[in-house]
Amino acid sequence: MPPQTNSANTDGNKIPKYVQPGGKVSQRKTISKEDNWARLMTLAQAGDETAYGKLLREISAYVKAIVRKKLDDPARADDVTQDILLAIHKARHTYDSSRPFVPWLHAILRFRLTDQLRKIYAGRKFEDLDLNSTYGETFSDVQTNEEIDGALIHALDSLPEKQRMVVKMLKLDGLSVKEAAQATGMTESALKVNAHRAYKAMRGFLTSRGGNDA
Amino acid sequence: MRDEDFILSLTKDLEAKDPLVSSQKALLLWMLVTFAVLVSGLLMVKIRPDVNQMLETLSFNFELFSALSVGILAAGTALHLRIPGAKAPQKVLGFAVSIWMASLLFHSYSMHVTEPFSLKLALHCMASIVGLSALPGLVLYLLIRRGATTEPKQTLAIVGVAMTAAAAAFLPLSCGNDTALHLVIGHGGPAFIFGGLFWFIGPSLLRW
Repeated sequence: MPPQTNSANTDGNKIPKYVQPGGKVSQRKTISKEDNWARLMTLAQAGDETAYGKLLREISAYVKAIVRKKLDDPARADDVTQDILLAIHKARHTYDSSRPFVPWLHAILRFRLTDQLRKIYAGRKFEDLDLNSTYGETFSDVQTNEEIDGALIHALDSLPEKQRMVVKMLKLDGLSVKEAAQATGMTESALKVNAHRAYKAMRGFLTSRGGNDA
Repeated sequence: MRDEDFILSLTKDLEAKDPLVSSQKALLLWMLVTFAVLVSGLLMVKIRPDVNQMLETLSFNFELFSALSVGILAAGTALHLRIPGAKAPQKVLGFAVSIWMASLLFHSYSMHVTEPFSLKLALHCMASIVGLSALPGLVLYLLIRRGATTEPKQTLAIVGVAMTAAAAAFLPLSCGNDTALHLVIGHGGPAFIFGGLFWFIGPSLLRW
């Protein structure tokens, strides 16, 4: 059931009727999971980090349960779940608190899941290829710290310029997301998206090298 | 990255986001821009000499009204589709396009046109529609880009229909050719061409 939205917080954002400006629940003693998610998303739209974290944790478990029904590989299911959470993060401004939350969530979930499944099934065509012939050096050969560093540098070098810069700033230079966003001129969301894609690409790079051992 | 780390990276330094402008407000803005562009465009080209007489005929008004309805309905549908999970009246839009095509034929037959079909004139009208609809199309695309459509192919195809149908609603005030084939190909054709073309490029232009 959609939450009722005939009140507004100090920022003018519509919030469910049973949510007080301070975040306290009133008028109803119990609220359903969907109402709670709608309330948390409304607070997240207003910039409440705690509410957003709580919402993402709850959604994460829900999304993961659905994704795992479609994918056998738990690691891949985790990747897809994170991709869906990222899509929810990017589309959070499109949620209208006067509408039910779950259809909005499911539309994004279905869209990203279909997209990811399409990529996975397209990638399976190449799984039978012998990649050992492509790389002379295999990941199992890398044992010393220097060699691990070398592998990471290779992975970092394989990234596009923008993603490499973001990873260096966040992980090597120790900048915060806000500082890195200011330094690069990107928005914080764009920076997070670039970082996520970079980590994924690096993981893929290192896994493919590790997979050559088999 | 573990889920918890990932969630922390998303929640860290979270900024308040302005909710998306409602579809109704966005549609109103688009209609104002489109009207201004099309009227200006029309003033730059010559108006057909018998326009006053034509505006008194039922079939001509029906043609204009149907094209305009398709344009507005398509723009509204596309704007609605930028919200994930929102239901959009695609079936109604399909019905409206059928009515529009029927109105073109109805107008042509009620005028008892005898002049032959000219492909050159039809192509000229198509080019005019493309020129007139470019800016309204761009504005609509930018409004949709602010959302997060989960149906990129369908949404952009509908943008193609909206922009060309709106231009096609104004074009009969300038074009004096009422041949059935001319109206269907030259005035209605761009909606199908752009709808089809935009269907294919939708996923790359509306990626988010």
